[in-house]
Amino acid sequence: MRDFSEIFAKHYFSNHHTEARHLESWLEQVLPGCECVTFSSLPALLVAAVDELCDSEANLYAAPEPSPHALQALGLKRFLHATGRRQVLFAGQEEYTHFAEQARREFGEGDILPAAVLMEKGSIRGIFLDLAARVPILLSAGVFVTRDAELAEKIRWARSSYGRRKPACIHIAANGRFSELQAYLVNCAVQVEP
Amino acid sequence: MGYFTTMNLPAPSHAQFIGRLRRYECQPETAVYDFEVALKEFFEVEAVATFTNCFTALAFALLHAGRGRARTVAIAGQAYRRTTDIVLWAGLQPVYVDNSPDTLCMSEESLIETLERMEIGCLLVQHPMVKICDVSRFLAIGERYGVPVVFDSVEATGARIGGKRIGGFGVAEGFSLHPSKVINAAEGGVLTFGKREEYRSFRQYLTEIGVLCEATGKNLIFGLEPLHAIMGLASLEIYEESRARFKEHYFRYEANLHASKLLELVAYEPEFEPNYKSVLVKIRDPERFSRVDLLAYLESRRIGARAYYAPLHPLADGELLPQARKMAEEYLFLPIGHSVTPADIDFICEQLVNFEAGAEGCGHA
Repeated sequence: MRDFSEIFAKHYFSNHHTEARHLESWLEQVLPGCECVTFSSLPALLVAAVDELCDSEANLYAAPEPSPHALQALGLKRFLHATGRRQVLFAGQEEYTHFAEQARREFGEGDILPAAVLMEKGSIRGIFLDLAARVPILLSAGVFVTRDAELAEKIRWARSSYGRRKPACIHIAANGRFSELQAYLVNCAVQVEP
Repeated sequence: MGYFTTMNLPAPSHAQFIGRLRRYECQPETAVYDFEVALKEFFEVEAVATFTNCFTALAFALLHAGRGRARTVAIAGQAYRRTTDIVLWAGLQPVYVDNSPDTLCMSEESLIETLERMEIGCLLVQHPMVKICDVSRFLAIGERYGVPVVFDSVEATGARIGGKRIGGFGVAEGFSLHPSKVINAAEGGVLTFGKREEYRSFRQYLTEIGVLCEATGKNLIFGLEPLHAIMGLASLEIYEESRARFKEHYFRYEANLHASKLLELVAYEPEFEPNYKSVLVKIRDPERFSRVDLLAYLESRRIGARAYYAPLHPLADGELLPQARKMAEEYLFLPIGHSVTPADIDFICEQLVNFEAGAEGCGHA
């Protein structure tokens, strides 16, 4: 671990989101040509995506069992219905494997198994990952990966913190910021130093 | 020279945090349970429920309180900048009520006028900085019109009304655990319940809508991070120490600003045992001294003062909210907490005097 006392004293007490920004930068180096948007939790990220895509033809597919996120997705489905939002769909095992293969081709090799994918007219618009698997103490650490810069910025502004460009026009603002402590632990797990 | 900010409230030491982190790293979920027990004790309430953040917590409180009712929520015109977003995220519609220039919170008279002319599903009453709302009056209004009341009480954390700690009033009360707040968990939100039946009803509702797992009762999708529960536990331990420090800072500002022609310090009322966490000031003559100019001047001296909740949300643009609009130009809050010492406060106040002198010398601000 890096010197946590320094992080704790310096970065933690600011609102500059230094650790969170560095995590996004590192992810974008690992996934060239992509924009990566961190979110405090994967379910909150999926809700933000549903909100921002409510007028589009895109569909959000959650990974089926035995994905560790399948139970969460069921809960999310009920929440979306209860709050009058568009639905997250469930793909069958075969269909989702096909999506995962598309994701690998689109975003590079590696063991990317997204927790959800965003599809539009047969193409992948983005994938949703949960980095918490690398950090046992974390419940969730959502990341949206896309080549669509405009969509990435909308999700950042839906998150309501540490956006990059001019404020994007969004449907509903949420609260999805990583805390610096959360981001720090993920950075340590992936060995990223700011 | 350092930067003086409103964000850096006292927080646990690194050693305190790491000690707790090590204790929970094998069973992180127990940190959330222990934190909830500690919060219940702190707020002196029947039950608490923790969430990813207060934004989400309050949204669920509104959904639960307003079930089967009109999908409208009455909120103050001048309120925490994300209040409207909370209502919209919950799929509800905000109805703006003018503020009271005396209490700084929602005006009771304006609220009654609103309730007389339209159907409101729920009231979201927010304790402003420094001042405490007349809770019993809002509850009485809610009861008279049959409208449930949810309180956003983070600014009043730790305070008491008639000896009873704020936390047990209304349907539920929401408290943010953000680093700029009194209980600093790095992130997170908590709802407190004065009545056990209300809490049980709330949990049942969350189960119906998929937030709580039917089998385990666990918060599946918007639960508090164990990491933040650990930080929160460490923060609760130092509450009294933090409050003593805030109080020292507040009275240092009071001593410096008592003769100020530029600013009027909004005073705490000791009978409520307030947390003294915020130093809120009002520009006495906003036509003579511009808040924009003052904030820019302070920023140039590395003093991160902030406008108090301005501007009003764009959705309120067409609404008649004269007091809210006036208040939105007049108030700011000054640095306090971890980032400042009493000597720094003297420096900050010296800069305020310099601004006033400079503005007077030019004949305008």
